[in-house]
Amino acid sequence: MSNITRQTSDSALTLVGGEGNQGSQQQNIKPIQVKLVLLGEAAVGKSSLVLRFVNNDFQENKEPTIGAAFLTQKCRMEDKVLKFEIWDTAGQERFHSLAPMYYRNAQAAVVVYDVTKAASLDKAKSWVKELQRQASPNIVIALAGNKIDLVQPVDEGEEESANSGRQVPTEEAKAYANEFGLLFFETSAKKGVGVREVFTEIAKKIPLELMMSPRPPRQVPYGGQNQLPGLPTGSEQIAGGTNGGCNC
Amino acid sequence: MKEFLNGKLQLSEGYLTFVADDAKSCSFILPLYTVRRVERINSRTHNFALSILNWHQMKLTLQINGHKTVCEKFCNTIRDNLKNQVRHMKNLRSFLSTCFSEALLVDPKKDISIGGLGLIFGFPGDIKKLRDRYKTKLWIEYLQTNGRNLTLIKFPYFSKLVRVGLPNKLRGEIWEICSGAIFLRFVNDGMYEKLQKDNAGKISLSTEEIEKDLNRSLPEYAAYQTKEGINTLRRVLTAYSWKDPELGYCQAMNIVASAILIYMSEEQAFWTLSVLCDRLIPGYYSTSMYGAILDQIIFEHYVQNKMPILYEHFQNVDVQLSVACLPWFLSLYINSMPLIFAFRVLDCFFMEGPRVLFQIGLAILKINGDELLTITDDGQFIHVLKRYFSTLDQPAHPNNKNQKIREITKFNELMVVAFKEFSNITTESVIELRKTHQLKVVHNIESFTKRGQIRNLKDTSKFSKNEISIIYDKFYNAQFYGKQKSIRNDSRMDLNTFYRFLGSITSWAKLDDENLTKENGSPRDNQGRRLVGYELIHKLFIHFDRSQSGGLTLQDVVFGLGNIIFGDLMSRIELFFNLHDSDKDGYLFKEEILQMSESFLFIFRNRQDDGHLGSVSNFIKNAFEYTDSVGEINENDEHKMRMSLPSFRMVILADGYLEEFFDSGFAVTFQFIEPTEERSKGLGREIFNALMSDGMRLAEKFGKKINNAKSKSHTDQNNSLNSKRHSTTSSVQSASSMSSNNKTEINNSNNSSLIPRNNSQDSFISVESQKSLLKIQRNDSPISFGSDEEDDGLMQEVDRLLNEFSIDENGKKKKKYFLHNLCCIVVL
Repeated sequence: MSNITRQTSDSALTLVGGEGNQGSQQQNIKPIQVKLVLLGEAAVGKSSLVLRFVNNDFQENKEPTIGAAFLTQKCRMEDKVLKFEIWDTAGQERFHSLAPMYYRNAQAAVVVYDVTKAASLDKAKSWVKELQRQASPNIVIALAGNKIDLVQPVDEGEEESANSGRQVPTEEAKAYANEFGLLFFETSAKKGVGVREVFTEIAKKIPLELMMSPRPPRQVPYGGQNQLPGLPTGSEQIAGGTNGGCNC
Repeated sequence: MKEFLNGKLQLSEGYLTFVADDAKSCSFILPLYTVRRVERINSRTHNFALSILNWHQMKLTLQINGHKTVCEKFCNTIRDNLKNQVRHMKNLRSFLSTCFSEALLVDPKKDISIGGLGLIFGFPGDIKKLRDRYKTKLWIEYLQTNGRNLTLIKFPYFSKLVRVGLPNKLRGEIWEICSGAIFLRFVNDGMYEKLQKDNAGKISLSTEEIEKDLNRSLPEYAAYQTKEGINTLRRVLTAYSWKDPELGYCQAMNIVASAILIYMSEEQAFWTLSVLCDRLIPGYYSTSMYGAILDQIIFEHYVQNKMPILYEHFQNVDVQLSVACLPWFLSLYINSMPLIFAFRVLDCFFMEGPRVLFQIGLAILKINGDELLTITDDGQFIHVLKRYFSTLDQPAHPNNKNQKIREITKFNELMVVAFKEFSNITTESVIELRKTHQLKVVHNIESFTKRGQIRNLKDTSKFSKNEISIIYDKFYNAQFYGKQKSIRNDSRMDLNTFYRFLGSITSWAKLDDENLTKENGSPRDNQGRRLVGYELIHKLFIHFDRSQSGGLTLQDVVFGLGNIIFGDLMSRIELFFNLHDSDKDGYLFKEEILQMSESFLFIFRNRQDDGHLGSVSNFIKNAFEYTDSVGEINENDEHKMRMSLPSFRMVILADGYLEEFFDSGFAVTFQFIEPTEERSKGLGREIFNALMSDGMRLAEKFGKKINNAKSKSHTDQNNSLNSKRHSTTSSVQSASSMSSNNKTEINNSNNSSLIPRNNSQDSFISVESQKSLLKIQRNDSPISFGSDEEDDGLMQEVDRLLNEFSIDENGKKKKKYFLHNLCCIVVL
């Protein structure tokens, strides 16, 4: 059930190097573009998650996130090549109204919270609500509780101590994720725990077959001429959310 | 030989400003505290002439065309205003010691340590390549001849010097002059230090946010890898967040601040940030960022007009310009281009205002147009632009036979395209478009925020969507009208606002505000009597405030109202019982029963029929009867009489009138009607916030008329802004007295390009030279720089400029470019 510790063995995602040095084998395969957006409160570690995924690195963020940072990462899964186009959004609250600009047409979203900050889960929940109503109807949403390195010694795997600083119990977040049909993970970008799994499970859940066509089917853009960037118009889409729930 | 510059002169409380009629050939802002002497002189051709000697020993002669009485009035006003400004003069000397230009002119060779971090950590770019020394020399000449820092006079040659790129050490000061920040810094002497001191050690949301970003602001620049640099940046950003707590801190400010700090002292950077947030790019960094979104719409509008094919392509492939362009604007290109080029853009931006952002953006799209027509998604869009920015230093035409043309870099090309092909993007049109789209943007942000907030309500009671929407509007409208000061609030409603809010949804709660002293939420009338209505509403407030935080959230209000409206007869009776059971002991005592009856009378006060009078008196009678029967302890003691909830119910149900009231009458007094008037004004929550947070600035910027009363509400410790605001009025006065209609603010004239052109009246002021006083060698051959045509290839000019100068470097006779302009300025 849980994705936290599961080893993704048979259909694991392998990263493909930068665009310049891709092997001849992969060149033949047209990559499937997956637009993915990261959302969440400021300083929960969105940029770090991306950095870990793209560069397998953890460091001070060299690129300040103004509006959003854009990164890509090619991955291979079974016989398909995926190209994640990742929009890493600014977490500061006042950038909120710009977010729709980045999550429109996204096939996947990773909503990040900080397991040591209860309030960040509330913010994550409100992002989920917004995505389920306003983003593409079939968007795959993953909930990621980051910074578990702060609450449990990863190598020992013992019971958390009482004074661990964890504010969001795993069960609580997991229950929420199940209820709303989200993928759920706990991660540590710092230690590199669970990050690859987030993207792997997303890749598995996205209906790739539908997207094998050169361009993924576009939604009718809500932005017309002179439309405010980042601001949806008209009534909200009431999407049923992703159905099913956790795929495991 | 006499040359005249005709233009408009404006006098405000603190400044004398002039713009030539063509808005190009000359402009200046002369702070009155730099005026040493004013003399009235005889003039053969005009009614009236004044000779002004300023601090830097420059003499200006003003000839004023106008009716005698008008001139007299002008004369009197300037005399009075000068008197008022004299007090500032004593600060001049110490202030000028913080100006690089002063030291530079004393000894150009000396190592002067006035400026930014660049003095210690080095300036970006190669000094030789930038021709820094040549440029400095040109500037020295200009500053010697045409004034400097506070007294600078701008001739067309000034903008040419700016456009070829400012020399490193002078850059900060010229930015400060162009933006007008220098005047703020002068008038608010010591404020920066005071803000530091007063807020030392304090923590706020903004300071926390700033901390997160300190390490990622231009991390590639050496200073920001050191404690010293980081501390400098921290001080400027936190001081600004204390100066404008409503705005606080917005990501991207760190980028801008860290960049300008390379060339500016902390205090200079602080005031420049202030000008940026208030005037040049208002609303970019506000909590709703409406300004940034607004300018994106305007940018799209320009793209659509100027490059329709490209625009259509973007529409077809469904790519939003903003995904790439928003960061350009937010960080003034600093984050997008290599630093040396970004600073060249900043040079122009400070000189000419926000239109430069659009011109550069359009030019980028135009130059990359062919390639952009092939993109099909956001990723490719970003990629094309990223590559372009990284090659800005490379030749634009590497294969051209002409070496001169080969030497033109892509950045040169960008500048030429921006300022030549998009020269018709004027400040006026930008301001006009901002005005046109402003309400729409604010409204959209508002409705976005509104939907978000409503979506996040945990409990909507049984209200319909529409009713919730109306409650939301009333909730925030009440808050807006209530606020006298722009105190940062967390959108909780306080008691005073609750009075107003409740009054807007139910008729009985409409209160007559007159003759009240509303201190600490316990209003009394002018005789000091407590007011029943307020007390009742206060009780409701406490009841609604479930978390006892002293403020109501939207959720509290929705929940509270829901309980009343969707409750039933019994629940409402209980509610009233609880409201009046102030000690929560489960019994109403005599005093409480009396209060209850007063509450009834208050609610019924506007009813036409007299039925309620009888009912209320019945209520009192019955109530005391029942209390008597309940009274178990001390029957004789009136004060111990009490009534329980069941007894209260019986009393109510015994009276048809009151029963009807609790059954339905009370609930139907709450009406949720769309506040049509308010809506049509577009006064949503966000515009409230916008107007509150940006106060007059927004209004000034968009030319909105906001009456003086409102301007008073704009709290400001900032003396200068206040004084400037006064000066606005006085400038209107003096301007009108000079028969030139004018609503120009001095604020705007800080930037020459922001001065509205007034071709309305023929108030004619000539600035004329005193030929006899000319002591400067004169070059008689006309110099083409003076021509109004902007079309001369900019690059050619750059070349010629620098070539001409190299002659000078070789010790040959100097050429003076300035003299043809000296028709109105004489340097003693």
